[in-house]
Amino acid sequence: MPTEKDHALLQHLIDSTDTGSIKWETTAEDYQFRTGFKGKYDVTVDKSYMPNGDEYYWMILTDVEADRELVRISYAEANAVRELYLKAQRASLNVDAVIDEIIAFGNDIPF
Amino acid sequence: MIGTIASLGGLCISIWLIFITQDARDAAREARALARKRNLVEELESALQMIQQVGNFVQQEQWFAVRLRADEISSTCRIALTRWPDHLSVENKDNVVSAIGLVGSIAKAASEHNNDNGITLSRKRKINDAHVRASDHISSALGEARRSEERDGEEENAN
Repeated sequence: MPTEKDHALLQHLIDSTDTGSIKWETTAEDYQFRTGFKGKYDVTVDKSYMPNGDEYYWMILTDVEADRELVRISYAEANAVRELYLKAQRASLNVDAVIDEIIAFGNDIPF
Repeated sequence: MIGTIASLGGLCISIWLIFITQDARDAAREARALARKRNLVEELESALQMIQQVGNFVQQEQWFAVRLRADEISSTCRIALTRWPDHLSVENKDNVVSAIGLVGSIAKAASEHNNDNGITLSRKRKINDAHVRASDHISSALGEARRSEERDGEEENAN
């Protein structure tokens, strides 16, 4: 079960994603996004599908220098993991910028 | 009288020797730091060279070679982070961390394919995209390491 600190970490990641102070990027894997911290930590969020088709989310914090997994939290343990995944996806794929571009394009259409 | 002069002379020589030794020690320390930075540059150059090879292997769909090289890049980058933790800015250490994460994902994606089964265009595009970004991250860190090495080299020449 995630500890209070784990929940605090999740909230910190969500807040930092909102403010844009951390930079998420896509990976070679489907449904996976990652970011780096403090020059030695890696955070990966992942979505997978259960055999019954349900979506499942993970957040993994790794100490890259030591090549060691520090924290792994699933959606079943904390709902915030899904929220973080969706925000990381939006940020890494520049979804908001794309929407702004589409809206701006729509405004340019002369009627 | 002669004894006093000799003592003072000895004292002056001792003080002078202390300064000389200190200078020599500082010079040796700077030389060691420069040598360590040169090694960091070499390590990152090696990682960059390997990531370029990964690009070629991905084009040729040589997945086993991709996986091997990706593992080597992860190790090289990890060595760069642990051996020279104070020679890169946090931003560029994050770049190296990112490169490790991305080549890890490339290795995982490659392990899902062998040379007998094909790969979808979309999948290959994602691998290529991760490869390009990993290369950019290592290049940024290498740029800083080279700049730092050149700066230190110039300072040493000036001294």
